Amino acid sequence: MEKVFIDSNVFIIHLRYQRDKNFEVNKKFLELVINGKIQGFTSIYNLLEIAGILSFNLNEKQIKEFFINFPKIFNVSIIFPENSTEETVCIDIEDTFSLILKKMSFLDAVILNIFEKSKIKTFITWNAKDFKEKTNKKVLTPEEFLKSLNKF
Amino acid sequence: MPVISMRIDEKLLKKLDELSKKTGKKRSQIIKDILRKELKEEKELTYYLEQMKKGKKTGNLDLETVEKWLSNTKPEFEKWEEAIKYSRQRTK
Repeated sequence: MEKVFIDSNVFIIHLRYQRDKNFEVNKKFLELVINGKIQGFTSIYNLLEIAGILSFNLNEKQIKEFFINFPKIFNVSIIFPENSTEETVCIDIEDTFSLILKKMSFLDAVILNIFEKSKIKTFITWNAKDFKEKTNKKVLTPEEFLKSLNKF
Repeated sequence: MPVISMRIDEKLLKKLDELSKKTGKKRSQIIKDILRKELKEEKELTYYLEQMKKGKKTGNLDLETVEKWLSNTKPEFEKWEEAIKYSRQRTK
C-alpha cells in the first residue's frame, strides 16, 4: 500500500474551508486515507499546528479531545522526530538550518526535515511549489496524487 | 502530612474565596482538587502520546463530531493560505 506524508493544509481545508475551490478533490484524497486505501502519515509538528489553528474556534476540552483522537479520526500515523520522548520533541538544528538556508520558513523546514528522514517517498501538500525545489523526494498536491492513481 | 505555603495575587485569592463560598469547600480543598484534575489530564495526554508514538490509533472521537463542533464557528482566517502563513511565519 502506498505511504504518503500529509501536510497540515490538507486537514485544514477539510475541517475549515468547505468553500475552497479544492475542497472536493481534497475530500476525495482524504477519503482514500480514512478508508485505508492509502497509508497516511503526518508529523507531531503538523498535528500541533492544526490544533493551533483550530484553537481559535474550539474550547480547551474540544482541542484536547481532537488532539489525542487525531490519528483515529483521519486514520493516520504520527511521526515523531528521533530521540524525542512523550514530553519533548527534538529538532535537528543542523539539518533544519540547512533547509532554512534554502529560504524556507522555520516550520516548513522542520516538517520537511522530518519527512526527509522518514521512509515515506511522497509529500502531499497544497503548497507543493514551496517544497518541490527543496527536496529530492516526490512532492504532489492531492489533485496530482489522485491523477497519478487515475482517480481524478 | 506535609504542609506547603504559597504566594498568591489578590485577584486570584478573591476568586478562590468566591469559589469557596459558592461550593462550600475550603480553599485548600479547591486547590487540591484542581491539582488532581491537572495531574489526571497530564497523565492522560502522556498515555495518548505514547500510543501515537507506537503508531496506534486510539480514542473514540469521530470526524462527524469534530465537523459538528466546527460547523457553527467562523474560521479565524478567511483563507487556508492565511492560516498556514500565520502559523509558519512566512513573509512572502
